[in-house]
Amino acid sequence: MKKLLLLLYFLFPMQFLYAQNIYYTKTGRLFFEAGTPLETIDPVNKSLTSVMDISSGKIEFAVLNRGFEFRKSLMQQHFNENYMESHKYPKSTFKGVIENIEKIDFKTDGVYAVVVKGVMDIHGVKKNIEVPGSIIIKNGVISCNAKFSLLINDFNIKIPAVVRDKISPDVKVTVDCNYSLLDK
Amino acid sequence: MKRRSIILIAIVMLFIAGGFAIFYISRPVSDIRTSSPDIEITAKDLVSFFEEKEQEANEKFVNKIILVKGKVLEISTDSTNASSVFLDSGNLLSAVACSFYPEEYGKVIKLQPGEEVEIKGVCTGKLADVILNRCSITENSF
Repeated sequence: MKKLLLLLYFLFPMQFLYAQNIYYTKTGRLFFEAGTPLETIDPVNKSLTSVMDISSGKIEFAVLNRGFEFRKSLMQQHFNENYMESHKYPKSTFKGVIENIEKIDFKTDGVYAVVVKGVMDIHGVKKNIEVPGSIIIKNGVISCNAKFSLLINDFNIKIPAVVRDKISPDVKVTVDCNYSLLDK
Repeated sequence: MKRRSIILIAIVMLFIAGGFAIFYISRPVSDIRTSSPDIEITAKDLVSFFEEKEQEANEKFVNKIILVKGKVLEISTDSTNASSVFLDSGNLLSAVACSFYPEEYGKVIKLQPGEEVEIKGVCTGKLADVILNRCSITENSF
């Protein structure tokens, strides 16, 4: 009951609700690099939530912006208060589809290159993106991995001139999730 | 003579101030393991608060160090020594998710579902679960 409702929370609307095709995680890893030679910026979020329907290819991700763990206190503070404005935008999400999902044989171990298309919603801005990734099946466990870039400017995030040479305009994002079957 | 020593003192003070500034700018995030909690609460009450009054819960709990008590529902680990524990809140849809410091891995894997535990961490808000990070298992649990 619980898990089914969790599914509905994320994948709405859905036409077919076949629980044996729905996989999820609440402990995915999302980290990004936005540094320059002048400054290391490499926060990690270990509470990435994701739901994936392996029959339709629908996939969703969500993180709490305050869940990014930085090394330096001031950096984490600036990220939340000034850049991401986490009090206004507490979460960042992605809703999309893994293209050609039918080409993946989920019953056979392997690494499958995929393309994921959808809407990234960060800092109040929704942007269509298309990124490459991998679906990895090993010993029957489904994982996903993706590395892609996002431009800070695309999401209305304002970096003051004073720190502009310390922050890369091009942010390299890495996503790593191990999925479990959602059982009823 | 007096003038020179004043200048010397001023220069030394400037260096000291500069040192403090550099320290302030580059200081690491506080180690939550050795910080005192701001709020002590049960997993049940924490989730209820978020469910009933989300805005007030955000103001009261987010960014605060929470000492949460509850029963272990589920334990999750991965190959990078990252570990998480989900605490039972009595609410089927929403647990308390606790993401630990890597050094806590050894303690976390010894936990059993159903066990009562006390966890300290920073509240980052609520997605489906109320999520705490930079967590550690407090000494009282053992």
